[in-house]
Amino acid sequence: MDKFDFEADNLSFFYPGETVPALDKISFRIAPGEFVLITGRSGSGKTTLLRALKPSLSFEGEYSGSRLFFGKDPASFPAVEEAQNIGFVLQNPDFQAVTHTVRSELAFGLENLGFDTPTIRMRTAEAAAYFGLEDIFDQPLSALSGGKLQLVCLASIIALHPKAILLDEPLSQLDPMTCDSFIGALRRLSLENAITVILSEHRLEKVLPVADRIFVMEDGKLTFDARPCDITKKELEKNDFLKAAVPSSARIVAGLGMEPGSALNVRDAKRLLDSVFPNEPAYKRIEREENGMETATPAVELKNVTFSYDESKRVLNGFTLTVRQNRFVGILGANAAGKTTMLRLMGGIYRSYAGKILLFGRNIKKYSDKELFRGTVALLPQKVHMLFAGNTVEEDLRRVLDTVDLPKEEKEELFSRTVGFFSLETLLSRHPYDISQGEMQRAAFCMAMLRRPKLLLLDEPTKGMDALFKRELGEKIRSLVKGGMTVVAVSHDSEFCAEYCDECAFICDGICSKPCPSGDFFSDNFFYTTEANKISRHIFENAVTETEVLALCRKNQNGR
Amino acid sequence: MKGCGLKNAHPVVGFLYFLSVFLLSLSMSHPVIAAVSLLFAVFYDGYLKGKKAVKSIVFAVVPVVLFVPLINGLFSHYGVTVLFVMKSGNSFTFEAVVYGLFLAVKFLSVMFWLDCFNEIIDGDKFVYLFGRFSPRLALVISMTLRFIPMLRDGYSEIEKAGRGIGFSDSDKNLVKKFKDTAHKLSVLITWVLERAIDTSYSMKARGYGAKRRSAYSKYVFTSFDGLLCAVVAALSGLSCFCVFGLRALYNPIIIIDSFTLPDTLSFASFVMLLLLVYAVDIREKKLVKPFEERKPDGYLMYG
Repeated sequence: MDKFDFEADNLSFFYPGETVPALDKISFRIAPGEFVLITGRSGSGKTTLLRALKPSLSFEGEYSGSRLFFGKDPASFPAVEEAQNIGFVLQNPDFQAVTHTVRSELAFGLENLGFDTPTIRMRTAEAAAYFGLEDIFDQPLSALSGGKLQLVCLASIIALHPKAILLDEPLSQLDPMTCDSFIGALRRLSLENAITVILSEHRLEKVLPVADRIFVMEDGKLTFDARPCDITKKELEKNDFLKAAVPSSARIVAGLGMEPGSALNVRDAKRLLDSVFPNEPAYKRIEREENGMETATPAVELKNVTFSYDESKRVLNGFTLTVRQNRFVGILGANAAGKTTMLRLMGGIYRSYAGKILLFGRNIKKYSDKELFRGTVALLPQKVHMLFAGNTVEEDLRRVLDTVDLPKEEKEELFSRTVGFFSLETLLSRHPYDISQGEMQRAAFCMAMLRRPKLLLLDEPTKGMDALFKRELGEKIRSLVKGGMTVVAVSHDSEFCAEYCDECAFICDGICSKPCPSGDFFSDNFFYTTEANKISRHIFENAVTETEVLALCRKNQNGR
Repeated sequence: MKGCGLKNAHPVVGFLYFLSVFLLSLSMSHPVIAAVSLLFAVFYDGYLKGKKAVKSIVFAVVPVVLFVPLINGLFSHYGVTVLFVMKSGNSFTFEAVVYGLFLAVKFLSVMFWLDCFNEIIDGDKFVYLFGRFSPRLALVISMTLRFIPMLRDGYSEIEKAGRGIGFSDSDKNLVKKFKDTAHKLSVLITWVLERAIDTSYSMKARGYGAKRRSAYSKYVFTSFDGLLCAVVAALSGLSCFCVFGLRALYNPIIIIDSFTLPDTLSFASFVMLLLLVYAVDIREKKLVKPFEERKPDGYLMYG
């Protein structure tokens, strides 16, 4: 008989007092060493399912059907055995780390299970070596970046020698680079150590190429269970979420009428594109409209700005950048390149110690705090939850509204208009921590808009968002820009910037490149560019989005 | 690195050392011994923390040395040597000033030893030492050490986030300012509670409470650590003789015991105790040296 790590048969789950199931008749078997990716919109039951696979973290409520862990049912599965065999990584690395140094964090689980000192010393050292953490072994956790911290959390679980690890959106707080190294570590665990990996995630482009199997959840149902290479065109058309979530390559290939499962990465998609165009195509360029960028007046100008947190290193060094009015500008760059610092300088939260910052032609130092933050500029932080403390979303929004200088009726009118624009009506009475990350982002956006700023600054607005939320956000920003606003976003998300930004620029080494139209920006880059560009750049000159690639393909095929 | 001898030793050694020095410094009543203790404390603190620290040390020392005797002179009026009579009719005496000076010296030496203790016994050692009593206490201390910087960083993030959407700190109104701070704290608390839920899940997931906890530490007690402990204990024991034996009287007249031969020997062992920290540093350097000086083999350089 075959052995399975996890088996579920007609598993259903109801939260206490609910009549709609959170999990609806789910059946599957997961073999040892499988790498399973669970995906679906927020609220589709991903977390509930993952938690159901770890008895000590399972939500309270009514379970029916059966679930087996290594052939045992939850009642006969001792807590010690469970802690050792099934590891669980949560979304926010900051929240799940318990102790104060890397060393003690790695030892935490082992201490809980009463291991002796020599064993703990051996196992922690081994885990640290495997994940490349020796250099930071004695560092305090407060000094680590989010990516390193998440790796420490994983290593702390691996030190217990588990048979399976469950991960609940572990990538949502990481930037692309650390994201890659984290996925690499997971892949090694699955391939080299035959540890079962079950991971929930809504950004598929990174994980799909390494997964053995994909589960798609919809309203508590498991609607799709297949190998990634078996994803069909039909399935994409049926499932809006899946279509938006799969890598660009898959969508382009599907757009060309082929099966998306056959091209989940750039290399495979490029080969397929080559097979469509064996000879040089007739049309190679996308013609874009000129948007008169040089003529518009500047919204914000940074001239030779210098800034540093301590004497040893300058974060920005003679930084010069001009953002013209009525644009959506994306600023890309590596970690710690000074992106957030630049944004905070533009927003007047930091003061530069050399150079000049002009906001709408006037020196930022001449603005009073009131003029600056109430009507001129608004800055949304990366961690938007830092803005919420009320019992309801409405309470927090009203707190901002109270300090807006307008007559009462106009205030109310502004409120209902802004809330309507962000479709928050149904969320107003909810607790801010009970809504999803994307919804919270939207509420924070609304908060900033109540200030009616002329310049909106966004710090990683797409972090942790699923593809559909991203699209919605992009369209909202576009319509704000159309209405006369200037938006500057720093982001790691090339795909998002290519799709929605007018202009992009690149920060590196304390200085910034001149902003140029997104199309030119991405077609000139080699690494910092979109998948669509990487797939098509050997035959087309300047296509950077899927729509552009597909448009060129069609033009060539139809001959016009 | 300065102080590595004691830093690399087992935490128990450092703890025992500073415990002895504290207790001795607290119980001494002879001004010469107190002055020597202070001198060594200031010097060791400067040695550990470098030039910058020495500057701030001097700024800390001078006012206390001047201030305490003055205050004591103003409020205590015992003694026979009257320097002058104050407006209130009370006399300002030489004895009171000298006693104040002695108190200042004693107070400062304890403070500086405490500062050295902080430098040598870091968070990890602290967790280890107090975790000896119970693994659970060790965990609580460790969690606290993680929590404090997180609260600090969290608050500053909240402040910046709030400024970004128009809640600025430079509102002059005091009531508004107070309300603003209260709101920021409430954001912080909401966030901390939210975090606590996740932390508890993460603890549970790794088997917290499933079994009796053990306490792991990276420290190894070597035979040299044993030797050091013995030396510290012996020298402190010998020092007790002069620290407790030699007395000084400040009221009504100043009588200071003079050193006899046994006192001098005991005092010498006290000085040796204070010099021990430099001796262990020298030993540590000697241990490292042979590796620094090793040259690559000839055939590697030319072959």
